[in-house]
Amino acid sequence: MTGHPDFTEKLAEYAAGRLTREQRAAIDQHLAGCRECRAELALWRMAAEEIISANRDLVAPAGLADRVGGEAGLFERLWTLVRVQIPLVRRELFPASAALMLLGAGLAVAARRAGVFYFLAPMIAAGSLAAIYNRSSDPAMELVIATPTSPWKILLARMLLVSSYNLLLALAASAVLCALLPAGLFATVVFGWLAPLMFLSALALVISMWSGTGQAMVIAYAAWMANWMPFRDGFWAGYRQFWGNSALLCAGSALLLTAALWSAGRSVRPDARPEAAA
Amino acid sequence: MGIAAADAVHWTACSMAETDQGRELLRRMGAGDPSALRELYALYGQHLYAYAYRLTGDPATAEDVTQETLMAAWRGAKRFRGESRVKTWLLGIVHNTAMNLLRRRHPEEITEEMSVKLSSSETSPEQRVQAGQVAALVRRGLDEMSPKHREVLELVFYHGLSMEEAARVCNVPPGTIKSRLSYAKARLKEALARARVAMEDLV
Repeated sequence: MTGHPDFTEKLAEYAAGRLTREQRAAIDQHLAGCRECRAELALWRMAAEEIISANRDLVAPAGLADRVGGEAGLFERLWTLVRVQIPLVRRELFPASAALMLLGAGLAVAARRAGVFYFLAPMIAAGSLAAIYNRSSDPAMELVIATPTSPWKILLARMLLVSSYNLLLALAASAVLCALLPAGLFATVVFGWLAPLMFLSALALVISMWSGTGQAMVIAYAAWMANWMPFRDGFWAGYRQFWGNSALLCAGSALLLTAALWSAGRSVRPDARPEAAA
Repeated sequence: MGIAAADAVHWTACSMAETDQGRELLRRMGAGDPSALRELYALYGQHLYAYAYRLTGDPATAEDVTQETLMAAWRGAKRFRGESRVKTWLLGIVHNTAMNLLRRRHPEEITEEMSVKLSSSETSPEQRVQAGQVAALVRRGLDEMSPKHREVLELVFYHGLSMEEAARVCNVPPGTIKSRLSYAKARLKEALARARVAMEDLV
C-alpha cells in the first residue's frame, strides 16, 4: 500500500472498521496529508451511519425458528417443500393447464365423445410435466445448488404439486363430461384417462430431464399419438395393448419416476455448493 | 466526525467468540437439536431478516426468505464445513433464496417496487430539508442506488463482512464487489453534486 489510489480503495473498509492496526496506521498517516481522502472517508462514514440507522427499525419476526426443525412433522416438512415450489414453477403453467383442460372437455362435449378428452388429457398433463424441470435456465436448480435440499426432493415436490393440480383439473373436467355426455359412470370416465396420463407424464418428465422440454413434448406426444393411429397389426397391436393395460402403465410410471429422481440426484455438481465454492 | 467514530459500527459485537458460538449451534442442529436453531435465529435473525428485507423490499417476502433460510440451515447444518463464517454462510443462503424469488417475478417490476418502497419508507420530503442536509443527501443517494450496489454497502457496513465475504455471499468475484463499491461511491458523490455540495465541504 503506497500510492493515493491504494489508500482510496481501502477507505470503505477503514470506515467499516475492518482493517488491521497496521493498515489503519498507514491510512491515518496518509489521511493527515490528503484532504480528498478525508472527504471520501467522511462520505463512507455517513453512508455507514445511514445504512445502520435504516436497518435499526427492522425487527426480525418472532418465532420463525419455531416453525422449522424438530417440531415439524414429516407431513409438514413435505408441505413446506411443496409450497415453496409454487412460485418457482413457471407461473404460466397453472392457468395454461387449466385452460387446455377446459378446452379439452369443451371439445369432448362438442364432439359428444368422451374419447376426445381421453386423448387430450394425458397430453396436457405430460406437457406441463415436461416443463417443470429445465436444467439450463431454471432458477430453482440454482436454489438446489445454494441450499442443501436434495435436488430429487425438489423434483419430487414439484412433480407432486403439478401432478396433483393436473389430476384435480382432469377430475373436474370428467365431472363436467359425466354431467353433459352419456359417458357412463364417473369412474369409467376417470379410468379412461388416468393410467395413460400417469405414464405419459412420467415419460415426458424423464425425457425433459435428459434432453429438454421441447424434445420431451415431441417424443411423448408422438408416442401417445401413435397409439391412436389406425395401425392394427404386429407391433402396433402390442403397442395398443400396452397403452390399454393399466397395471403395465402404472408399473412403467413407477419405473420412469425412479429414473427421473435418480437423474435429478446426479444432476448437481457436488462442488457447486456454496460451502465448497470460492 | 472523529476517526474513532468508525469503531462505533455496531457489528463489532460479532467477534470470533460469536463465530465459535455459531459453529457450535450448527453442530447441535446437525445432531437434531431444535433449540439450537432457535438460538441461531436469536443470534443471526436480525441480520438475516434485514438483508432479506433489503433484497426484497417487502416484509412478507423477507419473512418467507428468512424462513426458507432457516429451513435450509436446519437441513444443511451437517454439511457446513466451516470454510466461512456462519454468518457469511447464512447470508449467502438469504441472497440465493431472495434472488430466485425475485427472478421469478418480472425483474423490472421488482426493481421499481424496491426503490419506490424503500425510498418512500425512509426519506420523506421534510427530512430532506432538515439541518442534517448532507446526511439526508447521502440517504437519498443510497435509496436511489440500484439494489446490487446498495447490497454491497449493506454487507460491508451493516453486516460487517469483508470484501471476500461479501463476494462469497453475492456469488461474484471479489473484484466485482470492489467495482460495485466504487460505483456506489460515485452515485453518492453525484447525489451531493446535484445539491451543489462539494466533497471538500465534508471535511
